Amino acid sequence: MITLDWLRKKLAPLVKTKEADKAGIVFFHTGLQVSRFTNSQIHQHMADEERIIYFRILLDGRIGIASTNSIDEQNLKEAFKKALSIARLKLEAKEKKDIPSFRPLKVSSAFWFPQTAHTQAPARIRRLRRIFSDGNSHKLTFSGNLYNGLTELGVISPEGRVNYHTHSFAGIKLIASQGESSGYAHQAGYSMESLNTKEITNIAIEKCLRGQGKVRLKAARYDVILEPAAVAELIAWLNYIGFGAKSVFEETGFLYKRSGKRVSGEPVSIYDYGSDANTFVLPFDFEGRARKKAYLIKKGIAGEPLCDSNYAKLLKLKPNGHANFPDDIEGPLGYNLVMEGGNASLDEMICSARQAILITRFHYINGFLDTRRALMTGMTRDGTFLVEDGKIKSAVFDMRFTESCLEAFRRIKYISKERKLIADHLETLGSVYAPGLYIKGFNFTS
Amino acid sequence: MNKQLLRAMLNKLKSKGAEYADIRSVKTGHENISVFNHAVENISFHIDEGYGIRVLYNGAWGFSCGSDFSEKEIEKNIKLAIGIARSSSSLNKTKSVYPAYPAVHAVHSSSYQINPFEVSQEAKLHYLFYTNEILLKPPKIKFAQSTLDFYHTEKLFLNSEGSEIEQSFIESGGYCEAVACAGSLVEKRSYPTSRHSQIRQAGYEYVQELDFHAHAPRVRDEAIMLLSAPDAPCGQTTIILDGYQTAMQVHESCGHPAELDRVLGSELSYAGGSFLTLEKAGRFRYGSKAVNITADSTLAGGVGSFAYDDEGVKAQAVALVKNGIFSDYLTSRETAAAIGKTSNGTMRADSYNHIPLIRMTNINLEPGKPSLGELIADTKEGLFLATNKSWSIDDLRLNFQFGSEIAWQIKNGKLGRAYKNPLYYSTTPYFWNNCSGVANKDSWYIWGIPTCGKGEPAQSMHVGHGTAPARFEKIMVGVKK
Repeated sequence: MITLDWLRKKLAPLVKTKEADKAGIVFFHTGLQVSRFTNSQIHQHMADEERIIYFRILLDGRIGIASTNSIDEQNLKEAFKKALSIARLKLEAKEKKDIPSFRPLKVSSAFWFPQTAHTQAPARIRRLRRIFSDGNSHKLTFSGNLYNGLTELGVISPEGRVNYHTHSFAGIKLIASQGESSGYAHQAGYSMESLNTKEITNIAIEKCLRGQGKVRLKAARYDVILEPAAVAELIAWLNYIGFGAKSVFEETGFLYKRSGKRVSGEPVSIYDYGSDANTFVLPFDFEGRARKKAYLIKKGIAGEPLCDSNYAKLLKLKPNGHANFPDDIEGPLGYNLVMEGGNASLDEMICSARQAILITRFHYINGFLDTRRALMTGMTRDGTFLVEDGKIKSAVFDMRFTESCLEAFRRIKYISKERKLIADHLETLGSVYAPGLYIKGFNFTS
Repeated sequence: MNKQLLRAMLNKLKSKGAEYADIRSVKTGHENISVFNHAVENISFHIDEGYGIRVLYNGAWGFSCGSDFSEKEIEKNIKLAIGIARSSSSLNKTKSVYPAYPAVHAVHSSSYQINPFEVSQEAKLHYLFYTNEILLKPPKIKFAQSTLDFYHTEKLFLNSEGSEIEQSFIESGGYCEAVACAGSLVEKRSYPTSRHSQIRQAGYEYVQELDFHAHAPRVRDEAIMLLSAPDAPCGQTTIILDGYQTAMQVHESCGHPAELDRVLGSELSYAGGSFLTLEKAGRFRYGSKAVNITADSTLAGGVGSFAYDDEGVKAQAVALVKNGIFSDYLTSRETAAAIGKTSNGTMRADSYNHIPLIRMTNINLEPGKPSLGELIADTKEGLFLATNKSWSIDDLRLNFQFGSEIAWQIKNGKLGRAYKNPLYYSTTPYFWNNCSGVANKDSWYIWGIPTCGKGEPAQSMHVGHGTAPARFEKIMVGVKK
C-alpha cells in the first residue's frame, strides 16, 4: 500500500520539471484477495494487485502519456522520460490540450477499514464453510466468489498538489445451483463485517429452490419487476453509451441535443456523485477535480453529460469532475451512479401484478444496437419467475429482451423505496445504487 | 528478472511441501496511438512487469503475485501463495489432480519483419492523420477515428518439474472508423474491425498490409450511404456473414462453449457455463458437415499462437468440430485429466498478476470449397451482413443475437441495396446445423481480437480466429419494435 506521504515525497517532486510546460501524475492501485469457488469447492484462490502510475507531460499544447506498474525509482524516471519524448513529437496538427489544476480536497477516512483491506484467506474460508454447509442441507451447490481488498487513487497537479483517497471493500456473489435451476444473490460493502452472508445465502437458496419446474413463455411484451441488480445493469449500459460527454460530442449518445428535454418517464432521476456514500466513493476524478453531483436525468428530463476539462471545453460546458483514466479513449464516465428511489416495496410490486415477470438480474447486455435510442439486448439469468395475481407462480426459462431502455423507463409503474449498492470489484471500479422497478410492456424477443 | 533467483525460489516452494509450483515472469509493453478527426486523441506507452506464483499444496491451489523482484518480496509472496493454498485445502473435499508432465527447455520468438517499436511515432501519426483526412473529406462525415496498437510481451516460465521456457511476442494492428450524421441519424462504418484493433503476431509490416488509406474511401462512402438506407427487414431468411462477423460468431458460440473449465463450472459466477456438456464429446451434432473448427496455437500470425502455454504444454492444432460433430474441448492439465485426456495446451494469463485460464488460441472455421462469389451467386434471396456491431449470448452459449454495421440484400445471386441496423438471432446448434457453406481459402483471414473477457478478476486476452464468410439458412433477422 502507498501512503499520501509517499506520493508527496517520491512522486510529487517529479512534476516540477523545467523540461515541460506542465506535468501531472495519476496513481491508481487495487489490492485484492479472492476466493473463487464452484460446486462448493474453491478452484481459484488468489492475491492479486493492479497498480499503475501515469505521467502526463504537456508541451506546447500536446500531451504525452506514459505509465508503469513499477514504483522503482529508475522505472519511474524512465516512464517520465517516455511521456516527455511523446510530448515532444512534432505533429502536423496544432494541439491545445492542458493539464488542469485543482484544489486539494478533504477526504474522509470513513471508508477505510484496514482489517477488511488485509483480510486473509482463513477468514474467508470460515464464512464459506458455513455457506457450503447451508447448501449441503438443501442438496444444492454454490458457485461464486468472496473477496476483499483496497483501492487507492492519487492525483498530483502540475503545482505539486496532491489529492489522495483510499477505501477498503468486500463483496460476495453466490449462485446456488440444483439441476437446471440457479439462484443469484450478492452484496458489497466497505467492510467484511457489513456483509450479511447468512442473508445472502438464504436469498440464493430460496431463488434456486423456487427455480424448479420452469415454464417456457413465448416471446412477447410482458410487465417486468426488475430487482436492483437488473436495474443497475441497464444503468451501467446507459452510462457506457450515453452519460459521458464523448457520446454527446460524437453525436452518438441519447443526451445529444436533448439537454432540458424529456428523454424518459417523470419518475426517473439518475445522477453521478463521487461522494455519495451509498456507492463506492471516489471523491475526485483522474484529473484530481471533485466529482460533482451531476444529474443525467432529472424527473425524466435530460441533464448535461459527464465532462472532464477537455470535453467541457469542446462542448462549452462546465467540467463536473468526471475525467477517466488518462489513456482511456472512452472519455468521461460515471463511477458513482445513483437512481433515486420511489415509494413502493418490491413485495408491493409483486402483489400488484396481474401478470409480470420477476427478474433477478440480466446477463450479457449489449447496448450498441442503436445508441441514440439506448436500444439494448440481453438475457435474464439466475432467477426469473412468472408472477400472476400478485404471487410468484412458477420459474421461467431465461428469455432475451430487445428494448430501448429510455422508452422502457417511460413505462415505469413503480420504483421501489429500497435501493441496493451493486458493485463488482472483480470486474469494474464503478458502482450503482439502484432501486427495483416495475415496467409495463417490456419487449422480449426470443 | 533474475532467472537464478526465481529458480531458487521454486526450490524453496518444493522444500515447503508444494506438490507443484510455477513462476511466470512477464513484461509487457503496449503502445496506443489514436487520432480523432484532426487531433491526437491518445499517445500512450505502458509497461507492466512482474511475476505470478502458482502453488499446488495438499491438493489445492494458491496464487500470489508481485512486481518487486527482490528476494525478500518474492519470499513474502511465496508464503502468501502457500498460505492461500493451505486454506483452500482445509475446505475442499476433493483434491485437485495435476498430472506430471515432462520438463521442457525452450526459447521462442514470434516472427516479424519491421519492429513496430522502432518505427517513429511521427510516422505512425502521419499514417493516422492521413487516414482521417481521407475519411473526413465529405462534409457528411463528421467524425473519424483511427488507431494503432502495438504489444511486446516477454515471458519466462519456470516450474517445479524443471521446465524453463522463454517466449517473446510482437503484435501489431489497428482500425479506423467514419461516422456520418444527418439530423437524427448517425451511421458508422469501420475497417477492418469495429471498436477494437485488428491485431496479428507481426510487425509494422502488418499495419502497412492493412492499408487504411486504400480502404478509407469505401468506409466513408458506405457510412454516408447508410444514412439513406432503409432498416434491415424482419423475418426468416438466408444470411451470409462476412469473415469478421463469422469470427465473432465462432468466438461466442464455438470458442467459449468449448472451454473445458467453463463446462466444468469454473465460470458459473461470471459469464456462465456451456451447453457442450461432457456426454456430447465425440457424438453431438454441433453443425452441418460444412462445419470444421480447429483450435490451432501453431498458426503463424495468429495472436493465439505460442510455442508453449502458461503451464508449459506445447502448442497444438486440435479439431473441435469435425464434419459437424463436436469432437474435443480446449483443455488444461487439470481439466484434461478430469476427462481422462492430456492437455491440448490452452492455458494463458493476460498478465503477470493473473492466474492462467483456459483461453481460446486461434479458433478457426476451416475454409470450404466455393468462393465467396459462388456462395453469393448460389443464394436466391437473403442478406449479406458485414462488420460486427453488437453481440450478446446467454449463459450456456445457446441463445444469441448479433448485429452488424451494414447488410446488403441478396437477390437471385447478386448483391443489391444496403440496409442499416441488421440483426440476426438464433440458437447455437440450430444455427451451425443450418450452415450451408463456408467460403474457400481465398477469403479466409486471420482475425485478432484483443479484448476477450474471462475470469474473476476479469482478464482480457488476445485470441485469434481464422474464418471465411459463411452462409446460414432459415435464420431469423430483425426484431419487431
